[in-house]
Formats: sequence, C-alpha cells, structure tokens
Amino acid sequence: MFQYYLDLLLATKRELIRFRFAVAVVFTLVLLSVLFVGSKWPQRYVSSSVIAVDVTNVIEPLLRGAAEVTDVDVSEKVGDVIGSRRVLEPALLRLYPEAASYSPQRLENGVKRLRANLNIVVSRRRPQTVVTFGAATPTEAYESLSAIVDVFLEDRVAEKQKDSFEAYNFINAQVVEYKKQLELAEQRLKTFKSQSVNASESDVRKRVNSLTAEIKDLQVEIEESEETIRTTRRQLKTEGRYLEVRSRSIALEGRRKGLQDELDRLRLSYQDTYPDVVTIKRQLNEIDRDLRANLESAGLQSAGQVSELPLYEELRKQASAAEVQVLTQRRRLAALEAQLLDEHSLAGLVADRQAELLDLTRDYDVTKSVYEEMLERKENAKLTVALNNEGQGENYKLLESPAYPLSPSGLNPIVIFLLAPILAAGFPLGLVFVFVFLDPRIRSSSQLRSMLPDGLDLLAAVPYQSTPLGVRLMRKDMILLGLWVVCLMGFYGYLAYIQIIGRVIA
Amino acid sequence: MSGQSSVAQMTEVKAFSLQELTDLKIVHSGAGASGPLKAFRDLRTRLMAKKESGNFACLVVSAEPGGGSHVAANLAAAIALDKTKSSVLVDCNLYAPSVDQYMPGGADVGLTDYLDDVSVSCEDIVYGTGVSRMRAIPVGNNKDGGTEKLSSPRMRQLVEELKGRYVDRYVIIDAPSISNYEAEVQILSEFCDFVLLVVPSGKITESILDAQIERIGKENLAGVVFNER
Repeated sequence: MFQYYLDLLLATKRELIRFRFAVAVVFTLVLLSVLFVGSKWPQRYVSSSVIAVDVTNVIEPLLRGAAEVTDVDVSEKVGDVIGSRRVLEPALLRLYPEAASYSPQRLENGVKRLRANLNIVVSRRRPQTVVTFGAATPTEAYESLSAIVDVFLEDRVAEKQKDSFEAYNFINAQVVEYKKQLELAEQRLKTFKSQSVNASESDVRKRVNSLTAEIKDLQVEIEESEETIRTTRRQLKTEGRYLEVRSRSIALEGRRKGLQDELDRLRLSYQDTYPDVVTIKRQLNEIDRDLRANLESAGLQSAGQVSELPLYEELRKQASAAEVQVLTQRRRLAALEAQLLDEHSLAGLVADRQAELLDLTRDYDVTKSVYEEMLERKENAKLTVALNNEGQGENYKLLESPAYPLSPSGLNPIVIFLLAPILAAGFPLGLVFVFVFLDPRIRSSSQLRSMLPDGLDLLAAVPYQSTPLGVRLMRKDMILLGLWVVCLMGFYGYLAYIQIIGRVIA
Repeated sequence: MSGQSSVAQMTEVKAFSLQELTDLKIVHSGAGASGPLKAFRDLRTRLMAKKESGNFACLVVSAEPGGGSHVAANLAAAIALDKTKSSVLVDCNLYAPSVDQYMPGGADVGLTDYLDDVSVSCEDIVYGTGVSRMRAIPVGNNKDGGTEKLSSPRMRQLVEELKGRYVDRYVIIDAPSISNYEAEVQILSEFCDFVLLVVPSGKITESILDAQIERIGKENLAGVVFNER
C-alpha cells in the first residue's frame, strides 16, 4: 500500500514536471481570479443584540384552576414575532420614512430584505434570543437592528397590556354573566317558593295514616252492625212463626169452644149416639188434633208458651235502626276512602316539588360560588392591568443593546488574499494528482509487476535518464518559471496590499 | 587480423568520451553505481541466464513508440561492458531509425541495402560504434516496403550469420513498436531467440499490455522491461 502511494506521488511529480508550463498558467490564472474575487468580496457588518425572555401569560395565573390556557413556546415566539411583518414593517418605516409612500410590492420586498439579513438564534438552555442583523455598512447594520429591536419591544409591551386588558375584560364579562345567572336562579327559587302548597311530606303521611286507621275502624263497625241486623232478622223470623201458631191456635180454640157449646147443647137434647152429637165429637177431635199438630209444629207443648207481640215489635224496631246505622257507616267509609286517595296523590306531588326545590337550590348555590370566585379574580385582573400600565412585570428585557459593529464579519478579504497562493498552487497540483490517480495507464514498475501474467518476469526497471543538456534545459525552464512565480507573487502582494489598505481607509 | 573470429581483434572506431556517452544516454562503466547502469547490468545477466549456453538474438519491442530503442542500445552497451563479449545492435526500426547517432564514423549502406542487394555482404553493413565491443547495423537507404523486406530469407540469413560468426557476440534487434507495426514484430520474432517487451511509463493500460503479450506470445517473451524514460 505504501509503495502504491509512493508510486502515485512519484508519478504525480513526473507529470508536474511534464506539464510545468500548463501548471504555471493555471497557477497564474487561479491566483489572479482569487485576487479579483477578493477585491470584489462584499463586506458584511453584523450588529448583534440579546433579548432575554421571561414570559408568563397574564391570563394563566388569573384563570389558574378555573380555565386552562394553552402553553406556547415563548422562545420560538420571539423569533416568530421579530421575523413577522408586524415588527419588520414598522421597523422599515422607521428606518426609511419615505417607505410610507411605497407600493405594497416594494414594501414587501423591503420587508423581505430585512428578514433575509436578520438572524435569530434561540438559546435552548437559557431563555434568551440572540438577534443579529447583517448589512454592507456598520451604520446600516446598527440602525436596522436598533429599529427592529425597538419596534419589537414596544410591540411586546403594547401586546402585554392588551393581553392583560383583554383578560380583565373577559373576566369582567364573565362576572356580569354570572351575576345575571345568579339573579335568575334567585328569581326562580322565589317564584317556586311562593307557588308551593304548604304541605310537607310528613304532614301528608300523618294524615294518610290517620285516615287508614279510621277506615279500618269503620270497616269493623260496619261488620258489627251487619251482624246485628242479621241476628235481629233471624229472631224476627222465629217470632213470626210463633205468632202464626198462636193465631191459628186461637182460631182453632175458638172453633172448638163453639163446637163444645153446640155439643153441650145437643147433649142436653140428644143422646150421645145422636148423629149430630157424633159428628160434632168427631169435629172436636179433629180440631184437637189440629191444635196439637199446630203446637207441635212450633215445638211447643201448649199455646201458653208463645210470646207476646211487644217483643216482636221491639225486634223489628231494632233491625230497622241497625240497617239505618249500616247505611250511614257505608257512606262515611266511601267518603274516607276518597279522602285517602286524595292524600296519596298529594304525597306524589309533594315529592316532585321537593326535587324541583333541591334542583333550584343547587343551581343557585353553584352559580353563587362561581360568581364570588369570579368577583375575586376580577379584582386580581384589575390589579394586573394596573401593574402593566405602570410598566411593571416586563417580560422582554434587552440584555444587550444592538452593538455598533467595528469590524466586518464573515470571510476576511485578508484571509482570501493569504489563502489565494495556496489555492492557486494546490489547484493544479490536485488536478495533476487526480489525473494520475484516475488514469489507468501503467506508471510504476511495481504496478506493472503486479499486472504481469504468471511466468512472465519484470526483468528490469530502467530509471529516468536525463542528458546534461536536458538537465540544463530543465534548469532553465525551472528558473524561468520560478522568476515568473516570484514576479507574479510580487505583483499579487502589491495589489492585495492596496486592496486591504483601501478597505481599512474606507 | 580482421579475418579472425575474435572479439578483441574487431576494428574499433574512435571511442566516445564519457561526456558523449552521457549525452547519448548510454551506460558506461564510469557511471559508477548509477541506477541505469545497475538496471541494464541486471537485465543483461537475466537475459544471459535465460539462454544456458552461447549467444542469443534478442528482439527488443516497445509496447508504444518511445523508449524501445534506448533500452536496445543500452542493453547492447551493457553486454559490451564485459570485455569477453561483444554485441551488435540491428536497427530494424525502419520508420524511426536511431542507431546512426552511435556511429561516429558514419555509414554508407545499411540493413535495407543488404536485404535488397545480394552484393552487399554482412560485413559491409556492420559498423563500429563509439562504444567498445559494440557494433551496429543502421537502417540504410532503402526503407520502402519495409515489412516485405524484413520477412525475406536474407533477413533470417543475416541474423543467423551475425549470431554464428562470433560465439560471444550477442545480437540485439531494435524493432518498431508493436502497437503500430505488429506484422514486422511478428516476423522478426521468428528469427530471434526471444523477445523483450519494453513498457514505457504512462503509455499503456493493463488491458493493452495483456493484448500485446498475447500477440507476441508468452512463450516468445523473455520478459518485460519498464522504462521510466
């Protein structure tokens, strides 16, 4: 590998000697071109300024907990704002007052030019932003940057005041809104209370209970009365049958008495065998038998056991009185049941009202608490606005004012002039080297040896041989070229010096 | 004296001074341990080793024009450095002859005259050079139809005679470059013991080299010489 590079360098050297005049021409051309470029190289002055960022959103602390405020990357924001039209256009107008009469197109171009020369570097670690502005003259750089930074800071202050004022307005509007809501809730509660029947749930329940108990008692009473009626009726029925037996017995006894009288009279006149007497006797027997049968049918031995009529009357009186009582009681029961039904429906109504009341009360309470909180925040907002108006709590600070650039930045023409000879020498050198590197032709014995097929040897490598004449000619060429280079460098140095001096004076 | 077959008795012309040799880029023993001298001495030794006994006829062919004649002349000179040996350089490079410069005495007839005219003998065209024990045959005056002339039996006869006359005389034939005169090279290679291919620096690529080795034939090649020129 080492041999390869050595061969490459040797081959390069030989080719350099071979193309010495071409190399000299290229050297001359490159040197003069660089001199020309260096003399025309635009100088650039950069003014720089550092803005410290300490941004806190005004709305955020005011609304903390109550409302979220979206976070913005404040450092990015500085860059965005400075590079925006809202800053650059006023800055342009401040720099060139005549720009006010420019056409929109021309104004836009001016803004674009400012933006192109503006460079904003946002520090990641510290909340600062380095703003630089490059221009052809130091004055222009300084004045442009000053104008931009001033406009930016003023804009930020105005924006901040606007922000806090807007926040105050917002909260104020919210307070008014909540106050309205609160009043509405109050009104609703009041109306509800005035319309509401004065019946509590427990009252209704108590009434329902007493009604239920009353109804139960009444039902028992009705049952009792009905039982009385039934008993009395049964007694009346028994009493009626006795009465019938008795009246028939009386009739039968009356007839028997008539027949006895007839018999007695006939006996007086006739024998017992007399047909009439016999008939009457048979009739008497029949009546007796009927009498007996009548009494037996009632379970009685004799007619004397049958009760008297007043008991029956009494019983009838009783039955009638009981019937009247039952009717009365039934009517009362119906009335009570209707009343119970009413009470039940009233109970449902009362529960609904209760729920509505709860709802209204809650609404009122919540609105009231929010309103009170808002009221408190409104006071805070008022304070913030006052602070901002006083210029307190500045968020953007100018850590470093725009500096007046004393020396041009970027590539110094002196460096160009110094580098030019190196470049001019290196260019043809590199060109030849690349040519040798890329050229596939065999240029060294070691290269040739590696290419030979097996069985074929490299017998000798004849080194370069020069004749004394050749050496003399070469020396002459080299001296000439050397002289040329010396003259050229002298000329070059002179021109470069004039350029640099000219710039320094300028 | 001149009829005897001995190197020592060959007619010598005025020898070149060291300065002249240097100007002609011919190696000489006065050059000390210089690079070229060592290179040609090594080349000579290696070629002699190829031929086990006796002298040889070696065709020196350049892969591209330039450098071949230099190697041929120096090889001849290097062989002649040995006081027991002599060499004859035959200039077959009809289109770019170079041997004349080594002959301070000048020349009337040369190789082409010999090939054309049977009345011209071998002795007539061999001239002494400014280098001791080195002879040369110039191209001559009649260069037309070179290829045909070189393929004539007289050419073979010449090589045989040159080789045969002195056992210690080595025949070095300077041939034109193979890239331009392939036919001549192939004809000449048949008369010689072996061919020496000269590769000039920075002129050919590997593929061209391979093609030329192929054309000459690997078996005919004694080896390759790299010439940095």
